[in-house]
Amino acid sequence: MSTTSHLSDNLTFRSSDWLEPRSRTSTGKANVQEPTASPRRNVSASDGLVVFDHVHKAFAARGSAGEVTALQDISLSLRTGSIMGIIGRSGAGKSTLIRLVNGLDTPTSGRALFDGVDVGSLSGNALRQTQRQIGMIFQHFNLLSSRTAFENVALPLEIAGTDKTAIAARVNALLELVGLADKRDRYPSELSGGQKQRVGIARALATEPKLLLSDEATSALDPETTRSILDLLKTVNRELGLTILLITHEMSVVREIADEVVVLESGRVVEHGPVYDVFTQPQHAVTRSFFANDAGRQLPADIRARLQPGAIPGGKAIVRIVFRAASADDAVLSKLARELGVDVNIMSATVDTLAGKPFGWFIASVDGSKSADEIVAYLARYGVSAEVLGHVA
Amino acid sequence: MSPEIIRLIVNATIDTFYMVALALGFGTLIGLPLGIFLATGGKGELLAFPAAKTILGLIANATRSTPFIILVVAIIPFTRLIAGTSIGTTAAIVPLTIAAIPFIARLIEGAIREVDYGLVEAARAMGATPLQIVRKVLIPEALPGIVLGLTLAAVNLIGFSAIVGVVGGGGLGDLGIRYGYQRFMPEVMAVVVIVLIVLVQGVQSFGDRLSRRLNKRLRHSS
Repeated sequence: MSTTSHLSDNLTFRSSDWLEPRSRTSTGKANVQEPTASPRRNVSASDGLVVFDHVHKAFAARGSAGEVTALQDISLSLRTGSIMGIIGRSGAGKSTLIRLVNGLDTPTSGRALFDGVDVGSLSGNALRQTQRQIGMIFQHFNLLSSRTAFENVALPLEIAGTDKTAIAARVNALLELVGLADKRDRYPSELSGGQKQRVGIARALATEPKLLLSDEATSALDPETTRSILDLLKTVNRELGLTILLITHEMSVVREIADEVVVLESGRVVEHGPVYDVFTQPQHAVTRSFFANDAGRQLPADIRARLQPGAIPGGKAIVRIVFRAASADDAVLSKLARELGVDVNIMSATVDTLAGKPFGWFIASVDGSKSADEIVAYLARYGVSAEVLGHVA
Repeated sequence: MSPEIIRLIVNATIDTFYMVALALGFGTLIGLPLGIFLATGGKGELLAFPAAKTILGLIANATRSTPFIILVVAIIPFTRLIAGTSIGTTAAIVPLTIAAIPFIARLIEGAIREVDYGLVEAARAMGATPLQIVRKVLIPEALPGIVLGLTLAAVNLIGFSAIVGVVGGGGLGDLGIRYGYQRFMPEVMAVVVIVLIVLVQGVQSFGDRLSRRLNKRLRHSS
């Protein structure tokens, strides 16, 4: 994929729109802080390209007089230039939430602000002008089957009344950007899923939006294609300073691309913070459930079968130990063994970096000469969080 | 078969063609916007105007439930108003068009409703006006279905055109009844039926081919 290098050459974005200074890069550099002491970032409704201010949304229930609450008291703020991932199971309300941003839906109460404007209060031409500053990509691409790749990308420009020569120049540059210059005259039915989503991204970028909304944009794609699409999104975020709000049900997508993550459950925000914090210290059961498929976080099956909740005399405690940036390099485990005089046996481990910072998971068995609580307390002194999963004989 | 009879058949074929083509043309001219409105005028839909949509739907149903032969006779005063006369081939176009409008409108409504709603959402998210959505999304995307619908309408109109003989409409059906049945000339009847079959076949396969060519959802080289 040769997309990034062409960016500045081929695109005639107005620099004021696209190259504004950014508070944080997608690698999260400005976000480095002592992780153990970091409280989850507070939402302030004062600034941010997108602000949800006590948003509440209810739908009339089908076939009865009642109402279904889709969103409850959502307050979030998305800074210009950042990537926020909203994760939740289906029915959690995440689609409803992003549809409030571009006025496809309106909140029952509260406000959804885009660039300081209450989108729900707009209608007619004012709403359409705002919508042209927001691009959107979809799970099923939503490309017009009757239009070629070129014509699909041209559609939002035609709608905005751009003249033909300007459209041609811009569309060609966008197709170049997404790596589909050679497919300009192909119809969607002749393109692969990943290529269709590239057309979708080019189309979403056509009107030089400030914000890109991504509605499960990679959910219909295979893992490899997903990665290349996420790379493309990262590129446009980094090179064009485009702010991205994406919803997904896959933690891996959030991990790959987002700076911040919001966990939505039954219409409420149950967890919100920098990706690193939420990944290394998930607070809520729902958040943890999204990691259930993460191999590194699983107990080996034979241990899980023997696991018991209570301490067993002469048995071992099974402990999950999480190393975060500050502690990941320290030899805490050997100190633990030496100073407490316990045998530590690592059963599974994952060491990785996330948002440029190292983190690690260990599942270890610790012999029973010290109580599990003592071990957890000892590790906590070194800023290492540990969790007793159970005991085995 | 005498040259006289052959000339009659040729003329009747031209009459049928003339009636069907014009009725289809006028019917589409009026039926297309009505069909689009039927597909988008409901509550919460693109051109939401539910009261008008309901009334329009009722009129369409009423027209379609009236047997064509009764419609032809019932609207004679209206036909005279439009065509200046109530008999003859040109006059017959009026009832044919009136019958075609609701039929075409319903077929186009169906074709428009087949368009993936996600496309309308995408266009709305781009800041498209309802009219832009109709013009740039719904009609182009529904075109293969619309063409199939109009093909069906054309075939139906060929059938209907046989009935307008009662108001001197001429055409193949009329010829078949007058010569084949009333003058005991079964060979004329047979030729009329064969010509009608060929006509319908031709219209149908032309419509099918055009629809397939317009349908870019199918992978094919064109």
